[in-house]
Amino acid sequence: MVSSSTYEYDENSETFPFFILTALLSITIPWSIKLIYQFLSNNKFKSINAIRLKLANVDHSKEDKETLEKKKKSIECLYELQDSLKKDTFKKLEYEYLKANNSKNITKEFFIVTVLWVVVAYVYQSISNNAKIFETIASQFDPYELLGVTLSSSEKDIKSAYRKLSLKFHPDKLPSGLTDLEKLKYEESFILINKAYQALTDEIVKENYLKYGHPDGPQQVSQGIALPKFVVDNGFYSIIMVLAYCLVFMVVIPYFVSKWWNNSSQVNNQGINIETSSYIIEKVFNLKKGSVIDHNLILEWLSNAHEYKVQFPELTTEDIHSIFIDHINRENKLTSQNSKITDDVKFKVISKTHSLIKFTLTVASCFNNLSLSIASINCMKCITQAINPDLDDPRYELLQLPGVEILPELKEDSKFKGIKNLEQFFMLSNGEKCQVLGIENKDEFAKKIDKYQHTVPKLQVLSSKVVVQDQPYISPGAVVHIQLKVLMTGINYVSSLKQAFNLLFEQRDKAKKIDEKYQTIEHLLDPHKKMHEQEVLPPVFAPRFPVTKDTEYIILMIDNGKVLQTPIFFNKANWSDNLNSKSYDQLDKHQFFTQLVESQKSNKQLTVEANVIEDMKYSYVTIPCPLPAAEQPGEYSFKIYLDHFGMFGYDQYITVPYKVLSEDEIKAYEEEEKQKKIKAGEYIEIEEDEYGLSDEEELSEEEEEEENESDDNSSVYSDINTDTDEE
Amino acid sequence: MSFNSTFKNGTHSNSSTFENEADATSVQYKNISILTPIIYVTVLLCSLMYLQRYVSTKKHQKSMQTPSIFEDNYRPREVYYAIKEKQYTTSNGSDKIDENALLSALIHRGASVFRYKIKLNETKQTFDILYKLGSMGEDFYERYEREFKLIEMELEDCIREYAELTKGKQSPQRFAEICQNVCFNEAIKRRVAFYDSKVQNKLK
Repeated sequence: MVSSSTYEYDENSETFPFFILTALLSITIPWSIKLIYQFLSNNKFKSINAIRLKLANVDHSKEDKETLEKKKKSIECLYELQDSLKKDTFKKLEYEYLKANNSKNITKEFFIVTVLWVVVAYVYQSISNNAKIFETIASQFDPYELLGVTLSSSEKDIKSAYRKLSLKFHPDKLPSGLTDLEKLKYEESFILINKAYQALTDEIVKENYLKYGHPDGPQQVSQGIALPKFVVDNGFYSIIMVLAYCLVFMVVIPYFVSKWWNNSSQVNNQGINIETSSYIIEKVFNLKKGSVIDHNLILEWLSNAHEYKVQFPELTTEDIHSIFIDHINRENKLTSQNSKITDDVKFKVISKTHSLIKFTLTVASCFNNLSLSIASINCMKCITQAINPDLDDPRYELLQLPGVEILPELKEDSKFKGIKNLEQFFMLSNGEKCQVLGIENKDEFAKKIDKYQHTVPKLQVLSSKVVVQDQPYISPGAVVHIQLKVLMTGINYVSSLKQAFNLLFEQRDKAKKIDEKYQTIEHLLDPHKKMHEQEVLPPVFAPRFPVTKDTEYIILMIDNGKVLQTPIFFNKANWSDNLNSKSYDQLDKHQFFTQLVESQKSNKQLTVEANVIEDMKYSYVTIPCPLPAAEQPGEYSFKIYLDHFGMFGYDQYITVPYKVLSEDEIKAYEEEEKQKKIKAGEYIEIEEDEYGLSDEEELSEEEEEEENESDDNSSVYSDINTDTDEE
Repeated sequence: MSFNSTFKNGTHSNSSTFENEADATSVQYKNISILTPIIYVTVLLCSLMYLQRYVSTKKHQKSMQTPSIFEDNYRPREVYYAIKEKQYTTSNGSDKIDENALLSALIHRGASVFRYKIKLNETKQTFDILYKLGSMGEDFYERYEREFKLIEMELEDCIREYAELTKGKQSPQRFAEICQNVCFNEAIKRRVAFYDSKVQNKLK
């Protein structure tokens, strides 16, 4: 009783080194494997170019070689052009930023792991040097070792081995002249040999050995604490142990938990500091109707952001604001005026604006404020392109072109006075372009513009319609979504071509039945899937923005001058084929321009040859509607504001009309369908045709709408949350 | 006796341990005063009460310090009390409070209360959405919720002041009506001014 209740301490360090070794190895081995893996995989992303391609979502595994090459070519070209125009300090800082974020510095971790391995080696060494451990092992009863046989030895071998040994150690046959002690040793060995032999041959003894590890049956089991006594017993070391214990559980763990909690409660779900979010919400809440809302107001709010106060405590709100103004005015006075504002500070302050403006936009749209939403979008454009619309009104759009620093003063009677936007600009010949922008080095500029045209896509909406999933008409109160058919062309394509393109694509679809691709179960269940399957757009061309900015298009659903839901962002559309299209370069722009003028004169539609779209692809943009279709039959419409989050000249309002059918009309429609189906017994192709967009009716949008609608009563206002998917 | 002694002697070691154990158990019975648990409970309750009061005063102080989410921070209220407490010197130098001035200040205050109320109710949904999106901090949402209570108290205070001013001759409903009308008229005035300025801008 008494002996079993007292514990033995691990005085000889027989057990606890093994614990330490196990604990050490369970940390060190996985860590080393992770490090080695990182080291190997990191090699792939060593060059800036590789990192950038990875960030631009050029995925080597998923796509076929041809598209990959096209994308790579365009994106590399874009970076080349952008880098040639970027400020050197910003370029350097961006490289550093990219490297730091994408190729982790593993020297620190490497050092820690090396130290751990050294500790492991030391513990291992101390175990192998500890004679006590080997003694304990040696004192264990092993019949095979005692008899000098192996596990696989036969009974015969065992017997002969036993005979030999028993002859040697038998008490009667001991060599003469031994001391008593030696005699005793010999006797002990003889007994052990006997036991070992029995353990391998005698049934009962063998069972005992197998069960308890000893031929005599169960042995005394000793329990102990795997720590040396001095650690646990009263005394100096035990106090240290208690202190260490307290330190871990009362200081270290609470410290890290509270730090984690503080950090997480400091930032809201959009990654914005809580103080900043409160400030912006309060500002929007108190915004008076009729006050001037433009990018200057947003910049003023942004300069109060708490993020900047934390990151740059030495800068005042005015300093931050002057950085913004300096940036959008394309000036560089500040760094010489204020020693606190370095290029590094500018780099950080301006890169941070993106998330802040995005948040302002979200708040503005939650408050249904359209003008504020648009002002925030414009503010983002100003910062991305470093343009102050107030200064160069109304020609500021042209400042986005590569290599254009400032716009020249044009004479009052100049014929280029009317060139205000990019579309008009691209109608001009190369010489005229240089005249408009006051550029002297024409060849170089032509090269830049050529690159620009092949890398910057322009979104054109071909057609739009209101769709009800899985139902060809719109019934009252149905949950609907809006489907835009868009085409990413080069920036120099004219928007008047839209209708001609639309016609061509529809003809091609009908011939090739491309729509069938989107008739699988997944696409029927989720109307937005086809949008997500498209290519990721290349980054925005913004040589003055410090970091590379991903392209984002914004959709605001508006009604009566109010925003209906939080903005929907999308960045997926097929572009690589269109920008690298063969026919694209062949298209004679001058001839086309004369055609355009003629068609405008005669009020006719523009025609384009079918081979132009040969290797072009259109894309879909689907928008969940915050509201269901109207309850009463009749004609209605949704209004959309579509814009680019970083480039001027893309903003457009789209009205999508739709017609809600009454019950009688639905019945009539279904009857008609039935009749068609009966007919289709002979003409199967006709039946398929009417599934998609049918023949001549597509020309006018109103008629189109009647065709496509449907019914599922799930989410209505909850769509607001689904926006995050698009982001 | 002898038997006893032999017994004792024979089992000396055993009995001694037994006695020791008995001693140990008897020591555990101690006379504890009835006051002990009472004192314990009182100390516990007192400390809890103190803690509760401390926390609530802290909270109260904090809420007193946090400004209203309205930018003008109930300025019409301040104006009213400033007039009432004669903080402005009157033009003719008399210290008699102009009753009409006080009444119009009160109506202005009441109208602003209605304006705040309408604005709060209008933005309720927006704040809920922003809160659910996780855009807003807990503190700010609490500030917003607090505003509803404040506005009710403000309205009650206005009505009380009105009854005091008119000495109960006019009904509180009438005051509410007046304030509402003033509020709407002001809104219309602002809107007209806004469109006016828009037109002016366009003409320029």
